Amino acid sequence: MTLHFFSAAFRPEDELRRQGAVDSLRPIAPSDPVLQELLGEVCRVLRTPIAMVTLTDGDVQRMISAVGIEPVILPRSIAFCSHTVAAPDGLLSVPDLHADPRFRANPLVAGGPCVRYYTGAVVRSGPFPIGAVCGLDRRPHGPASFRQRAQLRQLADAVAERIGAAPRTC
Amino acid sequence: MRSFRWMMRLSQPQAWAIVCTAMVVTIAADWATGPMVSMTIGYLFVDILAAWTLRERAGIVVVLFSISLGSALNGFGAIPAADLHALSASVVVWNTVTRVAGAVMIVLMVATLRHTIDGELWRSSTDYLTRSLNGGAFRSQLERVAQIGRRRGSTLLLLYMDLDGFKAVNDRHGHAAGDMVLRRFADEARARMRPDDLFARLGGDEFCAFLAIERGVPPEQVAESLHARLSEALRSTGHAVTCSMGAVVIDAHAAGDTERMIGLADEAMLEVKRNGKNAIRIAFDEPGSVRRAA
Repeated sequence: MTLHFFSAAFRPEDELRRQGAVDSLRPIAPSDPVLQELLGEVCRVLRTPIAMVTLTDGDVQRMISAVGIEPVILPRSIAFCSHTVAAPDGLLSVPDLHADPRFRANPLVAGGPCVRYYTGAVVRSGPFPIGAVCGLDRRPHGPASFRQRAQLRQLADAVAERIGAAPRTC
Repeated sequence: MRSFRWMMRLSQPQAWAIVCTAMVVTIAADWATGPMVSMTIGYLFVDILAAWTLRERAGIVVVLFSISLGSALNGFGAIPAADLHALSASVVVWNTVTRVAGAVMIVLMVATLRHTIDGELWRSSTDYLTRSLNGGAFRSQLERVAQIGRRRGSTLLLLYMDLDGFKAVNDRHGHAAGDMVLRRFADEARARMRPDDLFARLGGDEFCAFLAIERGVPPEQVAESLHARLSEALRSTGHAVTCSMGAVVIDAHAAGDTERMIGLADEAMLEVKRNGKNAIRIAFDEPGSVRRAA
């Protein structure tokens, strides 16, 4: 009997105010052309078939918009982007999810869509991390380069502006 | 005696129903056999039953009721096989009063015994500081919760929790501060659970919980949400204490074996200890592998 454990991300310390920032966003259509264009750019930068904008909202992660996949709602405990939201530097890149003890047993890696590669950058509203922009692939990649990271951060800021997040203060 | 254990689990309406039935049977027997046959044993049984299941006040009410009824049936102060007309008024009063006093004494003793047993049972299954279960009671009740889960077709969630940085609170601020942290943590955890769920302190700063999760709710999310609430409660104590959690999601239909579930809890514990501070580690206990093992 051997159990395979995966990690759920813990929540940021000022979760209550962060949730307030999420609640204050205005709704936006998943087919919003600007978002779709930005996500296309994410796919090109990270060379992944799937890209999405997610919002970490209470106990769930909602996909505001996605390319290469139908938007679904996931429990926060298994979502990759909740790790990105909790990351101190606001960026998470995992070249091979299958080789990472945090994600190896995650139901999205071990079964279901069998995702292998994730790179995401946090989307901020003011100082609060409200969600993430990420690229996913079903095969592993090399580590994300410095240039890819910088470009992804820029794209995350552009997405934040598009979905009506408050301008960054830091 | 084991055979009377079931009487300790009766609800109040059930206990009243049994007491009333016993009373009716006794009265009918007393009425049928006439005044020459003593039915004291029947009345005493009803009195003791009432005192045991419903405690002293109900017991005394039943005593008064049964003696007045018995006296009305057989004659006041009557003793079987004695000539009723030979009894003087003072003897009648004395006989009746001794009967009442004797029965009330027995009722009080039985009720006291029951109170004592209940208190000891509570003490032996409860961790005094946090008012949660202790390890032994947790083990013995695992099977009961698993059964509830199977009946409802729900998933089971086994949680192991460990407080990080707790020892520093005890060392730096004294045991009163440490006890306050433990109590706050346990109160918050119990407030988030249902009465059927188990929550136990295994000792020190280690806790264990066993929850039946209804269908349609992702159990891994229940664990994460609970961790968020518990972390919030720990933060509100003002001490730098965090919670590490190991969670195992168990299919209720595969959860027949208590020993196996304790093994899973141990594995969750080892996983938490290996992983260090403030981590939530979740695993799915595959029902497929259980079937192969069984």
